[in-house]
Amino acid sequence: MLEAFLQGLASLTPTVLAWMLLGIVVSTIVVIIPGLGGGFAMVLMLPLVYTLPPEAGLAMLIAALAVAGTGNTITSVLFGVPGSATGVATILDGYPMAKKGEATRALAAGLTASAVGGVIGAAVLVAILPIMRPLVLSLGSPEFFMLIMAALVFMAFVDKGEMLKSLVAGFMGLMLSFVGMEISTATSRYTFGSLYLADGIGLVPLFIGLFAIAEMIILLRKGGSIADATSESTARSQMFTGMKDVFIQWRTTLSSSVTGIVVGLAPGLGATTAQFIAYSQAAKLSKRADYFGTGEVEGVIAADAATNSKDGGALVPTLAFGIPGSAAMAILLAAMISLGIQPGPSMLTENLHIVWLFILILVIANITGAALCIALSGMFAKVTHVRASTLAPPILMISLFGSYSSSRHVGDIITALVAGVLGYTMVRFGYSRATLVIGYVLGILLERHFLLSMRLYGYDFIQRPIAASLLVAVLATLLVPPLRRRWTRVRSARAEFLPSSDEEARKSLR
Amino acid sequence: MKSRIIIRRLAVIACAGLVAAACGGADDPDLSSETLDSDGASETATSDDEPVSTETEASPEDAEMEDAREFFSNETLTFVVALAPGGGYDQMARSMAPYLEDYLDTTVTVENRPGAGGLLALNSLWNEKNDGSVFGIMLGQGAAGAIIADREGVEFTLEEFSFLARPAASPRVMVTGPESGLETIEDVMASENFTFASSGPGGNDHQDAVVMFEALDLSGEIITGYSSGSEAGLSVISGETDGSSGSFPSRWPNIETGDMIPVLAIADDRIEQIPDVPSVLELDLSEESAELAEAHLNMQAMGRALLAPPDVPEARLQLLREAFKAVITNEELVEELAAQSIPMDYLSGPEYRDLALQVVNAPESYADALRRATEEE
Repeated sequence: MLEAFLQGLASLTPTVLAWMLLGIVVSTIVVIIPGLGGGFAMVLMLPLVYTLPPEAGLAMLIAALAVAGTGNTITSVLFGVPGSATGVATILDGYPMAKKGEATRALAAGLTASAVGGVIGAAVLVAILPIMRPLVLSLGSPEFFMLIMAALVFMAFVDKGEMLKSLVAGFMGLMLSFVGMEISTATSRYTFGSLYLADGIGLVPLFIGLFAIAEMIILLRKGGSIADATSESTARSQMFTGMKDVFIQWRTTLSSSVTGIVVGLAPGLGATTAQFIAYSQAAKLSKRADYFGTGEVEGVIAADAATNSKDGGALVPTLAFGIPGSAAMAILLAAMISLGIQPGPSMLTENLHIVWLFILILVIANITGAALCIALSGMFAKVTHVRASTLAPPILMISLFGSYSSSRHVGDIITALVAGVLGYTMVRFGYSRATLVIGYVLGILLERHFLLSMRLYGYDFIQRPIAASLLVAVLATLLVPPLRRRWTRVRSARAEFLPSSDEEARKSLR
Repeated sequence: MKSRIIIRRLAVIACAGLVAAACGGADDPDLSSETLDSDGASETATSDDEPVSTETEASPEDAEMEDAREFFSNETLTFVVALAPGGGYDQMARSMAPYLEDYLDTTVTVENRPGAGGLLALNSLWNEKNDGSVFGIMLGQGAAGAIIADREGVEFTLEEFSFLARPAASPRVMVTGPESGLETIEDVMASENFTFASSGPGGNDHQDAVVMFEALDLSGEIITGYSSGSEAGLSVISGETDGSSGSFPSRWPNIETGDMIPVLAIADDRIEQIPDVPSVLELDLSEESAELAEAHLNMQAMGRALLAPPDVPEARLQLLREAFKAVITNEELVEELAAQSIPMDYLSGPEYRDLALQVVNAPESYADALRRATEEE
């Protein structure tokens, strides 16, 4: 193992590092552009990769992959515009922070969380190397179904406002996710005979509408600038606060990173899912749960840590079985094979040094990419003080371009505009957009894995060990706090001498 | 020429932002099954390539050809890709573009128009201007399948497109998992409850399953709902299901490591790398089953399609066909794409159109099997 590690370290020549740096820069620029993601950055590099020495080419691709979840924090926080589909959950708390004049803190926290999440992802990859094959094989549809169900149950806790409104928004998200073709039966639902809707409502235009366009409408009506409060702290002190936040909230950082890895392990869950599962989970488990969605730094950390840590997990099926979980992983896999590196059991024996090279690059690229963005973030953050009448038109234009570029279909512009009005209306009447997007992202996955589990195992799927444990964990999270409250109340009532009110009992628990 | 292409690509990467704006396309978070499954490549052996294109139409006058040449060199051409950036189709188009630019002395922009399994791109190409400046790489098999199954929303008539060439089509292979205990096609046929992992009606793997269950009289179940070839593949490896199918290049790495066992080549002949695995045509099939199998193999030969809108002016069409022939058979490009596991298999435009005609007029039994599968699910 040590020998392979040293061999991997030795392959990090200056040439390899230089190409890695190019990969980081290109990928960072591409993901900052709304509508374009890391997969696209890798496609741009691909022709060049084949002309390079194997290590350099792979380093460039891995570096691009590693920072694909980093740069999109910038537009998400500053304008509520998702840089790519993997940067949406950051908006939920990042943009409200920018409105409070804490843009630099949110950026620093999000970017640092990305780097830390990425490093944790790489570290966990090291830890699970010996068991990676059995681990992947132990997870199937029943386990994914339970995982998603847990996230959906937690979703109800994301918005602490009115429970009913939160549920309405969540159900709207679920209904939106059911638009399109149900793949297992090829049945069209709510498509009105339109082929455009066959793939469902586009993720990128929907999110751009719900957040970017809605926020610009709000901004234009309100006037002023995005940051309506000038925070007393300077950009520099905000930056340090944001970076410190990630370590102060180490529980959230760690648990979100782990969630990201688990979601990454599953080829069927998709690259956009990790951030939402981590966000719902943090919203449920956090002590400051009530503030999620209003500019809570923990929300930013949860989303960004998971976005980058999932790559560590997603590399596992790619390396262990040659089974890629995303378009980006498929590109990496094709490059590996063409360079004569065979995925499978040999990754643990004769090719172990390649795995180490990947891990080292994941670590270096995550840190470098985040540092690069943090260095620039102070400058970017100033934009939030620009007047609305100057800022909103270009942002609206970039948003519409971002939605159109995802498929070059005019339907995407219509979707974005309709979603914009929907988003504005929801804000106006106090419905949570966070619960809507979580319902939208997870609904279709929940259904698909439920149907698959039923086809494969019938109702017995609940009895599979991991699925059953997940179910128990969900029930415990839901039932234990109210039961404990009740128990405390009963006990204190018996003790008689304590003037125990509900409120105090609750406080004593926190 | 190679160094020129590399320099140009460096330039492309240097101004990634601008190019991104020009080429468009979002990161597709879910792996479209295409990347791994719907095809991707053909046999590595391209020795049985058609020697020369067999255009039968009278060739246009030299003057017309000269006009066509001038037209292309003054125009920016749009190369439409039917799937999202990052997949095999996208890679192929982006690799071809610089060679095409060199041959026609022009500028080519690649544009992704993904959606509805490639049908949105076909619809939009159908309605594009037909002066020859817009063409695309489409899912040939998907297009034919949509016509046969009378898919809702289809606006085009396949055979009326201008057929430029078929760059690639890949043989498919049926695999089982080591946990299934099934090591040959005979084992599969003898199994009483064979579970086959597939995406769902309309998917290439589902078509394979329907035809093989019917032609080989397999008993068991097609488990639908796997979102990609990756997911179906893992379920086979873990033993959740017994078998699945996929394009040979996408399954080859798993076959090499022993994670999957090839049991049947869904191809006209045996596949070079797995010589012991029989092709479906070698099996002892009834007349009806053989008819089904052959129709299915024709369907599969549709592979990837280079199409332009209907009625492109004759001289420009011919020039485009010549250009694509030169590009597809260019050794440098073949080598480059082979390195990305995308081997080429050229078929000329007119020959390809004949194949398409044959496929859309497939025997009733085949069309019925595909339609029935959709209704049953």
